[in-house]
Amino acid sequence: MTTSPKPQDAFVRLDNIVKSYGAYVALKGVSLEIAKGQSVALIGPSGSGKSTVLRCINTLEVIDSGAIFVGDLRMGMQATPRGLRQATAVEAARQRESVGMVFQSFNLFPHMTALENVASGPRLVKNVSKPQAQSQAMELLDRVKLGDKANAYPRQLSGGQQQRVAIARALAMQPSVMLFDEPTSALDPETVQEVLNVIREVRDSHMTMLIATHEMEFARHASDMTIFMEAGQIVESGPSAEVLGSPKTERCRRFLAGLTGVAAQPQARPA
Amino acid sequence: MAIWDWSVFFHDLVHPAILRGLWTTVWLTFVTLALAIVVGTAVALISRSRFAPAQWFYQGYVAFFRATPLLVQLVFLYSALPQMGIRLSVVEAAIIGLTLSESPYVAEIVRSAISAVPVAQWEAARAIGIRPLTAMRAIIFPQALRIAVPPMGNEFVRQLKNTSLVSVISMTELFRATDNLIQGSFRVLEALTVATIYYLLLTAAWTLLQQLVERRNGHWFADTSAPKAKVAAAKVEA
Ligand SMILES: Nc1ncnc2c1ncn2[C@@H]1O[C@H](COP(=O)(O)OP(=O)(O)OP(=O)(O)O)[C@@H](O)[C@H]1O
Ligand SMILES: [Mg+2]
Repeated sequence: MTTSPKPQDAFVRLDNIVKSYGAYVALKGVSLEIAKGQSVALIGPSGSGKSTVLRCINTLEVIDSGAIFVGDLRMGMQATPRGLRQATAVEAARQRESVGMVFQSFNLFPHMTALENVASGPRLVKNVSKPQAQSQAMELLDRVKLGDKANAYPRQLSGGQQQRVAIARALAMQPSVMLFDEPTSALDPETVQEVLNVIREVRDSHMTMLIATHEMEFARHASDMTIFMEAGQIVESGPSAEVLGSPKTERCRRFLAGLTGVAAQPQARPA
Repeated sequence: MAIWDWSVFFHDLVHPAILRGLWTTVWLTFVTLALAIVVGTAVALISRSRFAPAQWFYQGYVAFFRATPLLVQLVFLYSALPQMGIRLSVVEAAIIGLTLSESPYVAEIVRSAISAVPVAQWEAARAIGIRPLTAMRAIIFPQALRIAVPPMGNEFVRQLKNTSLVSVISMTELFRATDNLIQGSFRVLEALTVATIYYLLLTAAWTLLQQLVERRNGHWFADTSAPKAKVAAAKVEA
């Protein structure tokens, strides 16, 4: 495997990623680059491999071949004097500190309040003192407009509120890149916008981010670049206005046409 | 002799020896269950290791204690071990026997409670960078505990009944105290009725307590349910 230096502008780089589940090949050689501070949307039909790409980047999945770089980190690999080897569980955990992830189903810790959820990373990973972790967490909750829900448990929060807490929890680790896996797909239509607004705000803070989404309007307006995937491969990518406005490939065109056909559905609502 | 003698019944009901036996039964239940929870949890954690011998140990441990009667274990501890030079007092043998025999049941409860915590919780912990052991301690275990508490309550009742078996190694708990009384008075019916009433009362008191705790803290136990994700919206396009 090569460890050739990354191009200056790529902060996140995937080199020819292959990932299979048993005999099923979910990613058939995916390569992409994201510059520092860039916001990239990942679109494509269900089962095309969007989640798999995100999960591979923060090594929730082990890839078959290829290489993933985030900043200086070679994800899932550890450099030793004798070369690269598979990272141990603890080494992989250390790498994940700089990669934030937001899940479709929020996955908040149900036994912790909103504040404790947000403070959990700094507390449990960085051993930040409780008062300091909680005041930082409070700032983040204010930032996602949930300061008044600090002491609520996840079950007492709406889906949109839970997702905003989940975003704050990921931000609390001060990651250098944020991954969003269909962050609004499990939400009631009324609460989609409040979450998108928070994500927009994260983007405006120049966070490097990759977001798998069915919200085409959001991709168009809030993402610098859009990548269209199908059947485990990247079919088309480029500036969002181009990919979403005048797609070059027939498959991307058909996919987008299919979506506008159900314009009344939540994922196609105007942002 | 009358079939039923109320004066004997009331005499036995408050007999100091019976009350002492009752107390022995109560503390023996609590102490051995508490110890079994410690041992059982440790064994359950060992069973989660991917290291093959840990698996064999777990399987063997559970199989052994489940396959052998507690009565035999107790007599073994008290009467067979001295032949090997290990001499245990009655109380030691009773505590060790009751603890070990109960521990695999606790281990199975803890084990299934841990695997009942959604995988997504592990992933959320990993995604933040939480180390595996910390994730177990701070994220998974507290949730597993909430799942394990109700079935653990049933183990109390089982353990309460099991304490009667230590009478065979001459520990004077409620049943043996009752038996002693019978040897003197020859009134079996009244004495055993007294013992039965006390066992029933203890079980009823515990069950009531458990219901009270679960009702008062119902939300606490329900806490682990997965967020009611409204996936419908995402599936519309299909
Ligand atoms: N753990 C797994 N085991 C087996 N197959 C899997 C697993 N995870 C994903 N797959 C398969 O890999 C393919 C890609 O899945 P992935 O979840 O990445 O798709 P997606 O683009 O995120 O879809 P969606 O829009 O429905 O979320 C699918 O065919 C899926 O069935
Ligand atoms: Mg997905």
